[in-house]
Amino acid sequence: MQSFTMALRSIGANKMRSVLTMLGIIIGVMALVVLVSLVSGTTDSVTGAVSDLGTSLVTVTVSNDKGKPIRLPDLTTWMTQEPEIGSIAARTSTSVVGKYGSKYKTVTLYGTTPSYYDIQGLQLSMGRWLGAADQDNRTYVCVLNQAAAEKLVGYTDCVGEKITLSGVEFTVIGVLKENTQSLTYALTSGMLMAYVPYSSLIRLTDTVSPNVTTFYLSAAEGTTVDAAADAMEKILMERFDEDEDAFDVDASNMLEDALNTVTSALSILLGGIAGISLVVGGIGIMNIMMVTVTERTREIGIRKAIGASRGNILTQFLMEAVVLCMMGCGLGIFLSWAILQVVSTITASAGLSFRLDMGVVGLAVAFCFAIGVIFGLYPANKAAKMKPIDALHYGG
Amino acid sequence: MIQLNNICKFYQVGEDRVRALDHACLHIRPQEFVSIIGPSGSGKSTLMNIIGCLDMADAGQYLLDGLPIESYSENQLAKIRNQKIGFVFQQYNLIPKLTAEENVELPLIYQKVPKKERTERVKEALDKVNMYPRAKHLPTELSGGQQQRVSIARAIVTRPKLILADEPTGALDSKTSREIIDIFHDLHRQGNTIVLITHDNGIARQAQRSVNILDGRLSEVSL
Repeated sequence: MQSFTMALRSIGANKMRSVLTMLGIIIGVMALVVLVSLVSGTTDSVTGAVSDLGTSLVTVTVSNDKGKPIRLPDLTTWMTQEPEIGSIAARTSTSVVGKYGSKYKTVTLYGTTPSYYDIQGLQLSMGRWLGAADQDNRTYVCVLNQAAAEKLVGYTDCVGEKITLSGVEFTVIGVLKENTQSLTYALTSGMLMAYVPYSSLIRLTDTVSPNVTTFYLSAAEGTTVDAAADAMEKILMERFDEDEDAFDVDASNMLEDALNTVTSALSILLGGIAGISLVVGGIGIMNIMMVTVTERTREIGIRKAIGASRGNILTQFLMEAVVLCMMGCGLGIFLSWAILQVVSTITASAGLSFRLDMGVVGLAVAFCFAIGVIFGLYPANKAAKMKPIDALHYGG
Repeated sequence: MIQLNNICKFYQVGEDRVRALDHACLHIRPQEFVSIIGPSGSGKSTLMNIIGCLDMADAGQYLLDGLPIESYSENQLAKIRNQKIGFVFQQYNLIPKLTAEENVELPLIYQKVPKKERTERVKEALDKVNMYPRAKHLPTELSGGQQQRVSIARAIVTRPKLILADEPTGALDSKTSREIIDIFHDLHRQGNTIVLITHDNGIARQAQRSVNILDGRLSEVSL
């Protein structure tokens, strides 16, 4: 306590120098706190936007059906019986050659069920989506995405046109709108895609088995995706003899995961750069402490003569360095808070808000303390080691 | 109180080895007022540093209040200086950033005396040298004589066994010097042991006993 007040006094005795010395720490702390808070603030709002895109989706893949393959009627049963599950859509895909007139293009052909439309959040630009009757009657109808309509047929407004897929003639009943905000769009941009009834696709090729190996489900109204995933997992565990390796229920959002990886890497990178500036600030503290020790050689001599031990002197100068660091740290955090407030006000219209990230504030405080101790130790030890008579007669 | 037996101290000056103290022997009894007199370069300061436990002898034995000083570590010596010796320097050696009061308080802080007792003892010490009214002043706001009084207060606040004064009047005019010497007489009457180092015969004669130092050798002066 005594050494704390002593430290404050000697910092106060040289205000200009102390402030300049602290500036290094202040800037370092501000860089660390502001940058990391900005990244995490942006992440929060972007992640929020991203999870709106399609987290409500659970993907199920079966890798080993143990002789009890899942068929389309099973999906319908689960859909009606399980309260947590909203709707289920099977999907299988194959690559075929599409032909319109004399044009040939490779088309990714999806065999799916009517509920796929809602689960994936698709939107039509014209025509209609696959219906239950198409499924039951195994009709040769298809819905194209915009790329398929434009590149294969040649124009978007192609409902009613007949195209040949894998040698069989299909009637185009609808064209999908490009949802430029969806993840699927980003991943499949430019691909030609056609959606046909699951049953029709089975009839069309031998390569697609009637056994469902991939399907999607959404949560029922009022329940969470996780609850739906849990319910599904329970059913499949029972069906596949409690073998959890036979299937995979994935409720996670790939994009969100990827985004988190990117932003945490960004946080570490920016934090690291800011950390370097903190170390530079620490060197500034060390430098000024060395000057202080030399300047106060005589004072050290007096203190030693009247009974200060090595420990007393060491504590005094170390305390001074640490207090200097912590004052800089406090000011830096305060200024960071002010900057974040200003930035939040400016970006409020864009729906972004930034708060002090408490984790990084704690990190900054701990880091500053460590810097104070590490860079204060050498000068303080230099002071403590002085011989009383040498120090006393220093400079006359 | 003080017993120096064959103390030697050497300094290396270039090629030469200078003998600052040459088999110095000195015995000072409790409650004595002894002055040590010698011209500059005679080894006075070296002797003062050794008596004050600020420096160690290269040879010989020094008993302070019965303690063999050679066998103590640096930190133990700091403690001995703190508790047994009160220093009064020619240049006052007050810490410029601290007020008179805080300067006097400092040795008590190192002794870990509680705050309340510190305040009382500081007041008592400053009262003895008539400096209590100026307790809140910084050293730079005080005259030389006043600063020396504060420094005496700092020396006596720990109630030391020995007051060691190195040219305490060296930087003062003769009137102020007399006042300072009067304070030492007072302290002596109150039962303190005082060792006063000076090059001024007039001041040396004020003491009960005077010891001469020349080229590192001590000899008793008859008054």
